[in-house]
Amino acid sequence: MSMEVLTIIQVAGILTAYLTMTFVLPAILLYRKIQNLRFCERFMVYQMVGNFYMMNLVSVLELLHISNRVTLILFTIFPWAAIYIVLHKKKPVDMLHGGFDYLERLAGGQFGVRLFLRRVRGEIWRLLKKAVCALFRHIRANIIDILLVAALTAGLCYVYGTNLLAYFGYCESDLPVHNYWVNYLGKNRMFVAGVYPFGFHCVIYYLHEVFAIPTYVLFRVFCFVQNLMIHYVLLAFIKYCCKSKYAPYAGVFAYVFLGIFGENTYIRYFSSLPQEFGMIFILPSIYFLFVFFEKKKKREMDKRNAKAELETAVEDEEMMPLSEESLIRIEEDGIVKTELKAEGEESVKTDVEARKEEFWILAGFAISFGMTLSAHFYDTMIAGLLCIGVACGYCFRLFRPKYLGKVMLAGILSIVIAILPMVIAFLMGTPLQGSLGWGMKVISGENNKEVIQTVPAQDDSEGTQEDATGQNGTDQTAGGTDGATMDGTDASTGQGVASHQKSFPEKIVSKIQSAVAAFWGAMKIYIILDSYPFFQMLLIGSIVFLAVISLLFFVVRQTDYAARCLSLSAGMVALSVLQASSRLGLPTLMDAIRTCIFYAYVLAAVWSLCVDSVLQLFLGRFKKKWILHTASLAVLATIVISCYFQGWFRTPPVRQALQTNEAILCLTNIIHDNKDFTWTICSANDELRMGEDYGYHHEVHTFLKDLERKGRTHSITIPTSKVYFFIEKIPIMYGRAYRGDEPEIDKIYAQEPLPASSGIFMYQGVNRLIEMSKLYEWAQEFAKLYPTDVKVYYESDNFVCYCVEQDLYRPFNFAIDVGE
Amino acid sequence: MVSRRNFFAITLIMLVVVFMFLIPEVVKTRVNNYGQNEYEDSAATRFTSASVRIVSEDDAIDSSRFVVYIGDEEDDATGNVVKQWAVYSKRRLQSVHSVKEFQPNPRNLPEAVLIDSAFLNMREDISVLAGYADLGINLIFCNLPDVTEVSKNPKLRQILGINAIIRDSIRVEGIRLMDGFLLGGIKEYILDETMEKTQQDMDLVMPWYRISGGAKMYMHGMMEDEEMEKYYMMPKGDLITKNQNLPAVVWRNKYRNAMTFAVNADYLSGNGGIGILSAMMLEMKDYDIYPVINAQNMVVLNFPDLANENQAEMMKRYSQPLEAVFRDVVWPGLVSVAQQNDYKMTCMLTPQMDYEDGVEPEANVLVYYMKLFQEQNIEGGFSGTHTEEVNLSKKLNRDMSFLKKVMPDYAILSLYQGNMKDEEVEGALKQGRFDQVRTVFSDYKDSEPLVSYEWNSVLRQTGISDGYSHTFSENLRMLSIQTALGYSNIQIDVNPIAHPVDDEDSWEKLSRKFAGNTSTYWRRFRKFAKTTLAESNARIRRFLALDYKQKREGNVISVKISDFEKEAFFILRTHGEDIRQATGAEFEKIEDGAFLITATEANVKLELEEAQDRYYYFAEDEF
Repeated sequence: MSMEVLTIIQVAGILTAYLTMTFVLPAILLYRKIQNLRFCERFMVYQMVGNFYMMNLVSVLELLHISNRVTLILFTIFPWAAIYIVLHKKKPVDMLHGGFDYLERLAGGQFGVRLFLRRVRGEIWRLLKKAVCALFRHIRANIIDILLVAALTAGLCYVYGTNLLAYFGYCESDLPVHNYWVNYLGKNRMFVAGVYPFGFHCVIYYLHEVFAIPTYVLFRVFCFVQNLMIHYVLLAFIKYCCKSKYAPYAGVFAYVFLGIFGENTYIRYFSSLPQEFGMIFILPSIYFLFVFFEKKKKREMDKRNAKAELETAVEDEEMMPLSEESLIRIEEDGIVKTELKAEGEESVKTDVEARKEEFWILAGFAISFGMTLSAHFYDTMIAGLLCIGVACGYCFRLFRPKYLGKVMLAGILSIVIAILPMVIAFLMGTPLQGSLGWGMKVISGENNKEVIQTVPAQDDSEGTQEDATGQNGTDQTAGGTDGATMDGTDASTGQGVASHQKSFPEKIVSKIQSAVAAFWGAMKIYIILDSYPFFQMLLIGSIVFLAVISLLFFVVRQTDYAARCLSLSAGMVALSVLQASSRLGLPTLMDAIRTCIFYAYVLAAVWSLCVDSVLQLFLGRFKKKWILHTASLAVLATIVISCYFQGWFRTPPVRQALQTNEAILCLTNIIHDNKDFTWTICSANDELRMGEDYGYHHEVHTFLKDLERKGRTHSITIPTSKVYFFIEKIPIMYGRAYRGDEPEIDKIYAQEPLPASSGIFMYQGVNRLIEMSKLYEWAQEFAKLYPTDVKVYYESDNFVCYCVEQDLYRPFNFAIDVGE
Repeated sequence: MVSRRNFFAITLIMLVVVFMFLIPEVVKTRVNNYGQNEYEDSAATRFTSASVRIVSEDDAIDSSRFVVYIGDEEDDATGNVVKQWAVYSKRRLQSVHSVKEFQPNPRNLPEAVLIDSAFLNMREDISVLAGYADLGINLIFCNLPDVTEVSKNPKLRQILGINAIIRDSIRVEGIRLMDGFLLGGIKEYILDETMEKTQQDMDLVMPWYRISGGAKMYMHGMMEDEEMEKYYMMPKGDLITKNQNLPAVVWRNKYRNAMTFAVNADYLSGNGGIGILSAMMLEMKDYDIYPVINAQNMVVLNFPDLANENQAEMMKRYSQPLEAVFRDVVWPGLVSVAQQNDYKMTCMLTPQMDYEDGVEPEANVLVYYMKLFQEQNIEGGFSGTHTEEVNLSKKLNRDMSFLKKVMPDYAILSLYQGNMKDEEVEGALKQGRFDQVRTVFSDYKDSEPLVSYEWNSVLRQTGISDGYSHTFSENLRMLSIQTALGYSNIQIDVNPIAHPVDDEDSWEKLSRKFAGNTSTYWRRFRKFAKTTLAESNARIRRFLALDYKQKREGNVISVKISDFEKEAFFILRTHGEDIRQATGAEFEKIEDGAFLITATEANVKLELEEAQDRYYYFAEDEF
């Protein structure tokens, strides 16, 4: 089987497994309860529930040290079944009795096996028919939506999937460390390297353990599944926000298909990273806030209307006679509930129901917001900034006590839920993981000076440093060129102040100008490519436009819609401030290089809402909504066609891996060919964690160091039946794509002393060349001594894997003395 | 009342049942041609002693199968083994008595120089041997010089890969044979509580040579850690390589451009050495393909005794006469073991042992057994075993006239020499008493070839293993011969049962040993064909007559067989490579890296799995 086919099968398998947990099972469980919600809303709810359950189940079992396949499956099936029984009001005992009775009758000969089988077959056929009919009904009703989602999926496969089939290795240097942490979850050692948000790791571990998918395969290809979900959630969120049916696709399609965005806005999508995984939960948390404000207001309005009607009815008793029972209930409850008005009575919910619904909405917000923290702190920051945007949009409601208190409480609870496992682990003596400590320093401001000072030095090397820092799981890069610009801006401002004393309005204008200039600079570097000035203008324009049009909607009393638009617009402003924070002289809470990912992501929603709001403004008043929807489809088609003719569509980006494809091929074959823990791979680095569940790993550097230092006096053995040596004949330039001019290993490099560096540096640049040259030389000498025991396992132009087969009764002494 | 219809049905069923039981018996009796030896025609071959292939110098240049032996090829020890091995492996052997006598021809370098250390001049020859190594000629030290000579000669130690001499002499507890050297896998020749002490018959005293890092061990002495630490302090952390420090018995060293092999014992001085030499040749190259006999015989000696002899002893021990003991006790035991292990037996008839007791062999007993033989595909031969009191000529006359009388058309193809002298066998053959005999089967002797032509065109096959005994040395010998020839002869003598000397000669004890040994030690060689002596005779004749050339191009090995008749057998040994497909031959996997090739045509092509054939590959690699 080719690696390409294998990868496609793996993606399909992982997608199925993930959707089973985050769509199918929650849907079976909750559909009846939330069937009044739109599909886009339900989709976000299912995602939230499934991921939340996986994360927390793993966390709890890990903290109890009882996490394994059996417990995970049991604690998935039984609670699911229990909740299903409760929610669907099933009677399991009766069902069991019924089943046994039926079997008893079968065993007693009341009916034959043939009849039984016919009934079973009939039942299966009936269910199948029902499912197929329902499916076709749904397809027919939503054919355009389905086609558009299919187009989006195909686009995602094209844009983000093709790279998976071209480069099989990890594309980010910090993936091995995440792999390491997940591997240790398998040994019931959570937080093995210190306390860190483990939500993403828990999900990966869950999929690995329950569905028997190797962890390294998940890390290789889960990014694609993750990307699908990120984009689906984005679409679902926009669908919820928009009034028209097809305007949402405009923003999402632009985000996926247009080649206008800077590389940094999407390049991390090629790796399975916690931060990107956490993006799935950012927009659902905003969605729940929207729903909360909207529903609560609606209920208040309903209540108020009902009360007013009651009062009118009581005053005008003769005009609207009430039944005796109704009057009694009015007296008892002091509130009107039923029978006041035949049409309205069903829509007015009881207080208890309303509170329950409100509770679940806020719980949804708390869970989604908490999961952003469980996945990655940066996601929480973005969600927090967007919440500030919501606060602006809904400021007219938020600051009322009955709203504010509940939202604050939900927010605090969400943080508590997310950090509880970490706090428990911390209290049990696990120290904080390095990057978490660093992050907390940044937040507290302790690290600001350092960050700002280091900015100029990092000017051009942001991308590469990003890769290099990953080994410790830390993300210590800062804001690119921002620091230098900031200093300049400050200096010029200072000079200006000295030479000319500005008035207060002038100061304000000047500040705004400099802020806009700072953001404009950041946006040009990170978000929209310079070659697309139209879109650069569009970016700024859309934010302003959305703010302005939201005011119009306030005027026309479409308050909730207006608030949503304003929320997003304000959220974007907050994100803009974060994006340009270092230029504005503010603490750099997040690197610009990372902020731009979220920025572009939310921008898709802004663009969709801009299109939608215009359509809504002009066509929203028509009662026949098909006019609005048709118009939105027409606009979407126009946008797509014009983009196509303008040549704005992008080709799939390429993200080269930090490993050779051959290394992954060999690793996959080695795992396939051998029994577990009968082999050792001696290679540079990544295979250490990738094969940790199946075999052993020996560092090339350690091996060569031992040969040089211990080899004269001691034996060097690797006690497994097979030892594989991965040698790059053209060593990869770590963090840089192959260009074709890379130096090959050579005897000259083999004569050099071993690099004295440690960590990743010994495998970078010329150091890697020396290590590989030395290993190759050694392998050649060893093959001369043991020609029949050293075999070429795989060889290509730039890679060779040697396999040494040894009898464990006499493992080879690898410290060969060639001179003897 | 039974109705007519029912009566008719019952009668019909009864007739059918009677028919069903009768017909097979009738057919069996009619078809059973016990008066004829079924192997007379089926195991016939045109090859005679004149057909034995002697590799000429030109052939050796063509095939590159050429070795030099420094020693005496006519001795009864190493020389004899090397000579035999050269014949069996179709190699040209150049034998010289000293190093000086051999001048390497750069255009026709030998694969290896085999050295009997007794013929080495330690002062002059070592540097010459080092020169051979420079030329890429592999060296095989069939035995090692005395330890004092080794200790005095650092150059020799360097050639041999001896890092240190820990002790001049040490007694080890056992010997370990590593996996992948001889066929049959790893073996540990060390006694445990369940074994009899007599089982350990290997030479356990040897000089303790510690081999150097680049050497590869194939056999080494075994000892307890405490015992080892008395003499040798292992560096900490070297427990994993402990075995590498144990007294080396057979090993390989890389010296300059050549491999040097050393045997620190006398394993190459008996027939068991031929497999070790074959294994060494494999260790010099990527693969080796060589012809084998592919025959596994089980020979039952002196069975059946057709006369009711030794009546008193039999009644005392088994409460029944010899005829009944053989028929009801011994025969079922033999057949069950043979069937369980898929063996075809060859039974060497003894009409009678005592010619003075007046008890004569019974014709009906012979007929009874011959029918059984026919049913079980057993070959009947003749046993020459006789008591000292009996005149051989008289015995042969009486036995042969009895056999001719009862079964005039049965061709006796195999003769068991027993205690007949070689001259007596020769005399009998010349007199035409055994004019149809093709094989003379004799007991094992270390100094005699395993298979060879003797007495014109009659072949000698020797028993390799005694069914009742399987010591460690015998096991090593069996493995070695299986490796070199795919050949084994288990002999089971039932004479001790008919004429017991002590309690150990009772059938229940002997059968336990025989059944246990046969089922246990030959299990790994089930892929080899089970034959009778007549069949193995034909295979040996073809084996000795054939010659072959082989070459490898990429992953295809081509074998061209000359003097091919009907079929030929080869063993292909690789270092982990598997055969993908074969043309002109069939193949079976014996064990990892070892295949039995049955050539059905004179030209064979074996396609091996590509070295880089992996389960997962890149799509672009397909095109």
